[in-house]
Amino acid sequence: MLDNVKSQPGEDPIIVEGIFPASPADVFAAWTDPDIVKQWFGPVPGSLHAAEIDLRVGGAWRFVKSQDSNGAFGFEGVYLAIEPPTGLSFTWRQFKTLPDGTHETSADSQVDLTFDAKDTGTFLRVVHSNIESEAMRKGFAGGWGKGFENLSHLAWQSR
Amino acid sequence: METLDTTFAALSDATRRAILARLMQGEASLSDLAAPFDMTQTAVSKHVRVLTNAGLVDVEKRGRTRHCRLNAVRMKEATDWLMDYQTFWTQQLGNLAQHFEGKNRHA
Repeated sequence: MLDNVKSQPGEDPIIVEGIFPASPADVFAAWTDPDIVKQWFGPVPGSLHAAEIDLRVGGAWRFVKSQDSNGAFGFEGVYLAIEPPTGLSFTWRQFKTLPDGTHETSADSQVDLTFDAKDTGTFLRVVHSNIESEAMRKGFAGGWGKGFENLSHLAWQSR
Repeated sequence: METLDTTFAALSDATRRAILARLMQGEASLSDLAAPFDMTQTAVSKHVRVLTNAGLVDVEKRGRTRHCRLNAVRMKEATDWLMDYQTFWTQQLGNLAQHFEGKNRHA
């Protein structure tokens, strides 16, 4: 079923594709209905803290990955184009809200989704472009490898 | 107060990442940290200060020795921000596939 990664690590745009056993309308809804988003989006399915969606061009979206005494972390942006059930475009950035209310964000990038009916399912293409920061695009995984994974693991464990 | 810019700047240097990787294994004195690098303890000390300013490392002075320790909470905050989007989207589409496959099974 999955997955067809079209781009090389560190390339911009990043293109990831997959075929899903549902209609384009259902796959479109999986990205635009906050209750459905919460069921699958995140580090593991069902782990997302909150999803807020104002589904209109210029409307804001925010997926909160975690929220605790250290603040809130996640992704947010604004819808650029809404064409159910074939297309959805939005700006994308990472955000962090500190306990004192300070809101920090990464630079804006853009995500374009296209949903095409294929046989009895849907072919989905995710194009993530204008990822300016090398840190955001590649992480440090490229240069750091296993050490980074371990570090990340350790950081999670000690929560 | 530490900002993400400070954190990213701290992580952008290979020597500092190597220091963090060493501290992953546990606490180390400044001289222990300096040992694997072809640089003076003063130079390593400067790197450690950058990591301390970013909140990634805590330094405690005991007697004449300074002991360095990883701040795991701060490290997690940083790793929350650092990701490979290729891996990220592949993982998300995997989640989505799982979601629909689960639904079809229950239907």
